Amino acid sequence: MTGPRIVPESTELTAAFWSAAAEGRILLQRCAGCELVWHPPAPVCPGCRGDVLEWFASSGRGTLYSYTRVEHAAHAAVADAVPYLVALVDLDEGPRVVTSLVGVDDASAVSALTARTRVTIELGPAAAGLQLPIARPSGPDADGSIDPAPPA
Amino acid sequence: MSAAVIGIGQTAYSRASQRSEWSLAVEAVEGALADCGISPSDVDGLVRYSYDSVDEAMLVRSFGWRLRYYSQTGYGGLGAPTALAHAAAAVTSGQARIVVCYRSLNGYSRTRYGRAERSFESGGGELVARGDRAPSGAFAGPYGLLSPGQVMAMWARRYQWEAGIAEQDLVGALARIAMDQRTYAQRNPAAVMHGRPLDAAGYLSGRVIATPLRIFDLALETDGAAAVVVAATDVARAASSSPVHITAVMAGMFAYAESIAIYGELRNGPTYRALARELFSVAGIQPGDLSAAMIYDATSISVLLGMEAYGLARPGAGWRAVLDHGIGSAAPVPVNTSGGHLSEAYVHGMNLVVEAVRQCRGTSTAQVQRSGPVLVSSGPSAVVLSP
Ligand SMILES: [Zn+2]
Repeated sequence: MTGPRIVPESTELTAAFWSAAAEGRILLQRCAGCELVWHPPAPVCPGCRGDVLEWFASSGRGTLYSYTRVEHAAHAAVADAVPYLVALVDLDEGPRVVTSLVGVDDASAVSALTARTRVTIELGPAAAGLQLPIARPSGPDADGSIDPAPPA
Repeated sequence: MSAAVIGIGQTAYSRASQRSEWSLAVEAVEGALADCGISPSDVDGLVRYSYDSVDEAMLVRSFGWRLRYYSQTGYGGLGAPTALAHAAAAVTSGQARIVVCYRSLNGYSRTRYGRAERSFESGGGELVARGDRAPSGAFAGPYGLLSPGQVMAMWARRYQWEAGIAEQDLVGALARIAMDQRTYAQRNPAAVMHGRPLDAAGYLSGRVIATPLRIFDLALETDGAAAVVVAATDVARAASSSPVHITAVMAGMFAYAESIAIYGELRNGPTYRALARELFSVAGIQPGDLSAAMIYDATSISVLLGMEAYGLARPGAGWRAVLDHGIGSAAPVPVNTSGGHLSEAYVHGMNLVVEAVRQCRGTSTAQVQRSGPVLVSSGPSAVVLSP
């Protein structure tokens, strides 16, 4: 990695998230009133606007929502990182997170990824240089079909 | 609604304007006013994209306007339909009588939207990713999710999975969109890609930017400006041009529906479709009544998702409709008939509005045969224009 690292700004809203993220854990917010869970962090519950919120650690397990293999660097900071995998993971607790995807080392492994691919979160190298929570396929795949867009 | 688009203007579209965005904006606005025979001194309203480097004060100074109304629209690509929503509201409520909407950018020579450099402060040391949006925000930038095209690549993969299709079917549909828009550009001398047709082999030879999207799936980065003039219907009757009526317009927004979103519905999802139905209800039409559609194409997948959101194809079936009929002149509803952002120019939707007006007037370089309403959509924002 020769370019500058891309680091997240930590705010009063997200400081707890980033402290845990540095240790490979994903903290999620939960409403004490209605128990809704969400990400990214918000000052009030998106369900009931309650403001008694608690942080808790995700199980670190989830299912792949989508991914892309970035082949063209959009910034000098990742010029040495391409190609790399970016994924959207739906955590078992509900919220979706952006993460890096590792352990998918060849073209056949990439093409085997599906919307049923299960992943586990661990501490590892994010594409732009930091150690952060990243995802690794954990198999076996989830059962059942994904929810397609319902008919109009 | 009693508002109409009466004037359209645009600069040359290029990759090296060698002029300021201010200068480009002035030329596009002058063109739009000349197009409808309106004196610059009669303009009393202005709508600006919040992303535009040319602000209200600059244009007011250039034209000597005395405005009664000005406003801004946010979220970049959502801005073109939204600008018309502001303008229509202003003229129908009597806050203004003649409103100019514009977008000006040196999108190649100054601010390249496919690059992430603008997202971070320059200087030594580490780059700080701020905010919670993708791409480039705090939750995306550290993972190298840095460009709109990368986000939309993930939309495309998710679309493939939800439609339950093979990658080759997805790629086939995206290629057809890119090729058909390029074909339109061959008929449009103003298009950046005029004179540069694209066939399937050429499409597939394009370099992969972020799987499954290739270079030809992405909007051009171009320099240029476009503008329209919106007026109350009584003013429109006095203009030298044929008015194009704003029959329904929607500045839509719901949770995670901002421009390049990753946390919410895919952009063919049920909330997008419900908003589209409400728009068509206001316009008093069905999707099949459209004579043409301009669907915001930051990438080719946005066209596919937009076709499904706005009822041009059933959810999950747009890829099949595109493989069967394409989006060209022979399609049931031709889409992005100027070449769109993929092949005409990328003026953040304003050039799509200009093309929609040309279709309503009967002056497009790829004029549809059937006269009727024309849709311009960008995610949850859209406008229906009618001759
Ligand atoms: Zn709550």
